[in-house]
Amino acid sequence: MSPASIVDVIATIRDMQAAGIIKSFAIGGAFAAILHNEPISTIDLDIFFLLTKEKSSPILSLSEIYDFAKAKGFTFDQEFINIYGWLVQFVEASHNDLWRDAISSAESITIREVEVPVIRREYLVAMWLFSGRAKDFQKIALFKESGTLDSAALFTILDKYDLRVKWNKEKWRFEDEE
Amino acid sequence: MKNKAQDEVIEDLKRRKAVSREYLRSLPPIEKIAMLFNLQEQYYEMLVAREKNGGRPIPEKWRKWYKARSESTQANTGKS
Repeated sequence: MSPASIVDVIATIRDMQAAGIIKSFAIGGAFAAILHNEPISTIDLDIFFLLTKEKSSPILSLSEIYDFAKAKGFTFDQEFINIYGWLVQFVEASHNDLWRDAISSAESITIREVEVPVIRREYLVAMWLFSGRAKDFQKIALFKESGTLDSAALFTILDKYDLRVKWNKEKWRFEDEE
Repeated sequence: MKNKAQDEVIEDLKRRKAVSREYLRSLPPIEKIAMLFNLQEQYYEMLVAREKNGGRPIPEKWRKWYKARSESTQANTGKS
């Protein structure tokens, strides 16, 4: 397994699109933070996706993906699918408008000449704020520190999803001390 | 209470940290992923050492990570 095997994972997800299972997807979570920013430790690759045909329950939503994985010989448990040595977590996004928007507005990052959809920085920050775990605040702090966030875009997203109050309440966790 | 020399040392460390992180951010994606590989391996080794020395056991997620990585490496190299 090599770092370049990530393009094989993306090709597999594209195959799911071609098979009519997934409508759209984008990389999110810590792996997206790495692509936008700097390497941080994470074990998994989060794929936020929308199904071609939306299902009535989260379990049904994932069943076609697991069937596909099984047919391809990938091993899996209730949490991850092992695709070429990568622990991939599929996150169905239809029930969350912020996540849907994050997928539809994803930017393309080129890895080994392969175009990979990655959730934009400002959406990632809004999603981490929404989740609100300690490790999410750490990633927001990293992004703030990098000076690469578009503040106007970020606050537009925060306002759209009623997250401005939470931002103001939690910002002491990730604002510069000085 | 900090003195002037300590302040200078702290400022110098901050500058060096900023340069280092700027460098990391400037790397192409594939090199960042390669660094992630190294980070994962180093972190797992640390978890193994901690467990061997009577510390907390390796978290289940990291066991899954090791299994996935090992299986993939074996598949690529044809080892059984």
